[in-house]
Amino acid sequence: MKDKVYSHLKKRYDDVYSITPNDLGFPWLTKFYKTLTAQLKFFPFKIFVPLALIITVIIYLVFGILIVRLVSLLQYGF
Amino acid sequence: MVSKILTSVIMVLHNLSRLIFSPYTAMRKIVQESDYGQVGVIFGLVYLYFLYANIIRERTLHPFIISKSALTSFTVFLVTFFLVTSFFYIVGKMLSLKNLKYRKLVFSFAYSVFPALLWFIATSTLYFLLPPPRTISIPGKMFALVFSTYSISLFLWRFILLYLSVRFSLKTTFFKTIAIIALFFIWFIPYSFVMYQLKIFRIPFI
Repeated sequence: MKDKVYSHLKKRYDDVYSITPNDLGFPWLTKFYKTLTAQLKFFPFKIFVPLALIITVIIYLVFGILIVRLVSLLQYGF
Repeated sequence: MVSKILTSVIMVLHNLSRLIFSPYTAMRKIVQESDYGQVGVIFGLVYLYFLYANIIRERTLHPFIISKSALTSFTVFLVTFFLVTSFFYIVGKMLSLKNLKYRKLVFSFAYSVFPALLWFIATSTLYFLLPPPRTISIPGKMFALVFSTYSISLFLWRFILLYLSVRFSLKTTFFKTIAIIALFFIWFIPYSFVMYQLKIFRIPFI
C-alpha cells in the first residue's frame, strides 16, 4: 500500500516538475505571469471568447465595415 | 489491428477534450505519448478534411478531381509539418537541450493541428451554407462579428498550444520559448506567403 502511494506521488511529482517553473526575472512579473497562466490552465475559452469579442468590437469600432470585407476574405481562405 | 485503431481514435478524442478543458496538463501528457496510431488518426482526419474542402470548393463529387487536389494539399501539409517539427528539433539541438526527442515534437504538433482543423471545417461548411461575400446589412455585420470572434478564439487557442508544444517538447523557459517561436515566424511567414502565391494554402494549415 505504502509503495503504491509512494509511486503515485513520485509519478505526480515527476509530472509536475518535468519542466522547471518559470522565473521572469522580476517578482511582480513572475506573479502576474503565474496569475494569468493559472487562468489559462483550465478551460481557457472562458478568457479567449470574451477577449476575442472585445478585439472584434475594437476592430469594428476602428475599421468599421472593413471587418465585413475581412470576414468575406477569410471565408474564401479554406 | 481494428482494436488498435479504435484505441487510438478514443485516445485522440480523449486528448482533444483535455486540450479544450485543461490544455496545460493535456500537453504535458501528450509529449509522453508513444502510440503513433494517434498521429495517424489525426493525419487521417486532416486528409478527410482536404477531401471535404475540395468537394465544397469544386462543387463536384468527381473522384479524380477531388482526390488529386486533396492529395496535393495533404502532401504539402505533411512537408510543412516535417519542416516545422524539424526546425524546432534543430533549434533544440543547437541549444544543446537535455532529453530532446523528435517524437515529442511530432505528438505535440500533431495535436496542435486541431484548432486549425476545426476552423477550416467550420469555414468550409459556412462557405457552403452562407456563401461569401458578406454584405453590410445587419445580418451580414452580425455574422462578421460572430465569425471574427470564433476565428480569434481559435487563433488564441492555437497560439497557446504552440507555446505549450515548444515548452514541453524542448523544456525551455518562458523567454527562450518565446524567442524560439519568434525565430520560427521569421521563416514561416515568408513560407506561408509562398504557399499563398502558389495557391496551395490561402491561410497556413498547421
